Amino acid sequence: MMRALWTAATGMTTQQQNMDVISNNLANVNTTGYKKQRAEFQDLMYQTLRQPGATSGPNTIYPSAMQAGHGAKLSATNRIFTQGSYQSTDNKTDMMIDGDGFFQVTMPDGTIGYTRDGSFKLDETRRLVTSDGYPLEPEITIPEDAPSDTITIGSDGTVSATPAGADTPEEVGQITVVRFVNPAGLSAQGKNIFYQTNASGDPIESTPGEDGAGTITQGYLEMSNVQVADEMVNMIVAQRAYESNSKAITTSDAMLEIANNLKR
Amino acid sequence: MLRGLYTAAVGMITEQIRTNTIANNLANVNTNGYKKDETISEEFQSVLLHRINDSTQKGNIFDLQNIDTARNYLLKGTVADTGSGEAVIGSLGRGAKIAEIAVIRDQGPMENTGNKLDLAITGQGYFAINTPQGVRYTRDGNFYRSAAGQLVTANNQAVLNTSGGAINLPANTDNIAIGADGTITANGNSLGKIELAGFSDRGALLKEGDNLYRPQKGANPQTATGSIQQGWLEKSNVNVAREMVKLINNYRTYEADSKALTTQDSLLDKAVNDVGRV
Repeated sequence: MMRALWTAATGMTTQQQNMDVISNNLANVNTTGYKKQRAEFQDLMYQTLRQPGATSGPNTIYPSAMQAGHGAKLSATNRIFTQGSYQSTDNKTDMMIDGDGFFQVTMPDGTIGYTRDGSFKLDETRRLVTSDGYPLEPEITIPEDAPSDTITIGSDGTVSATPAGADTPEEVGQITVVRFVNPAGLSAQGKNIFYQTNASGDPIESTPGEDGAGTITQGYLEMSNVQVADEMVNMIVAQRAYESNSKAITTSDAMLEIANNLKR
Repeated sequence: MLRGLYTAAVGMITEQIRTNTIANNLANVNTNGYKKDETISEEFQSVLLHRINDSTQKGNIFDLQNIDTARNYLLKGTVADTGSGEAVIGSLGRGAKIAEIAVIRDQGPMENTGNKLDLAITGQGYFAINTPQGVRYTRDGNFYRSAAGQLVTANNQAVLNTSGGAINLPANTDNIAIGADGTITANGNSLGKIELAGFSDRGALLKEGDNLYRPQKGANPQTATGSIQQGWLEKSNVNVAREMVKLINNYRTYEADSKALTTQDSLLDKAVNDVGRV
């Protein structure tokens, strides 16, 4: 049958995957600390119909090759770790990392998850936890007698709170951030959590503001870095690419129909 | 059987191959650094038609020397009488074949990605990539930093520097700057220079898939004249509108060839079933 049918089908499949990535970005346009993804494509293998340099006559060679391609494939979904926009929340336990780095949280199974979502809350034992109740690592507990509106988080990650009746704040903990050699290699687990992988490398723990780690800003949240206009343009590109591949399929099909009708 | 049947058939096959190439271009309309293929067809060498056993002529039709003489006449554009019992009537084309699938190396459009490790080449040149099969070349500058801290492609293959080694990036990505000539600096320290290879011969590289080009034997990479743009990606140079027009054109040519074929078949039908009726 016609190779073009299968070739165009790989094109439609890749554009479908492109749309999956775009729609996930759009779905997370308001997700705190979400980092957008981008689909990257590569061409598939080539069939070499004629090698360049093959003999074309007594004293001549073909100067160029004849190669037929077999379509495209998804090569990567690249995560773009650019800074998201800031949003002021006036909430003492909301924080964002300005620069590189992730908060560490302890998952229910004891492993460490990494997140850029700084919308922390106090749980029933007054620990700082994520919206899903995963505590920050190292754990930070606000004393019972310190009202939550006295919590202060410095740009270097020191957390202090003023006990009721006291004049001076007391340091109650230190937030550390981790960076990765290759953040694009982190594996997303949902719930704004990333896990480390072989590709991401080991976490490099540091104090905010030191060794290139980002600083912490209290009372702000980092929003999603998805740009709706960009995604819309990507969507148009994906749709038109899908459409043109479908045209290649219908044309090939019509050609096959002609070939079939040759025999009457 | 009728010569024209085969002539029309090779025309159809040619259009089919053209359509395959267009389908591949369309499939790669969003592939980084993809260079479109263009199918170029040529006429088959035409054959000479001879009038044999011409009573006014004498000679042997298998006399090769005379055929050569006839060919020479033909090349001069004249109809020749070879004086050997076979007068040359003229030449007859036998359809078209694919002469070449040429890679059109026009610059693709640029997209700003804001990613510091995305590199685009403007002008001539290829990035050199270390693969298990040897050095390969690519225009796809969608690079990452591997777990080992090397600058790698999406397939985790190292991008080479001018001395043929991998490029190591320090843990802190904040200040990686890549100049137009490929010089990499991080926090003011030089990390080497990205190899930008150029080839004077357009047959030097073959497409291999995975956005890679394989150098042919004897291919000699030279310093390329192109420059590197950090934070940008070169997109595919496929023009959808153009490919669509080519697709329609192919389809209609295919249809016309099929009509030539069916018409000749009806002629044969007549010859076999009507003329030959006993």
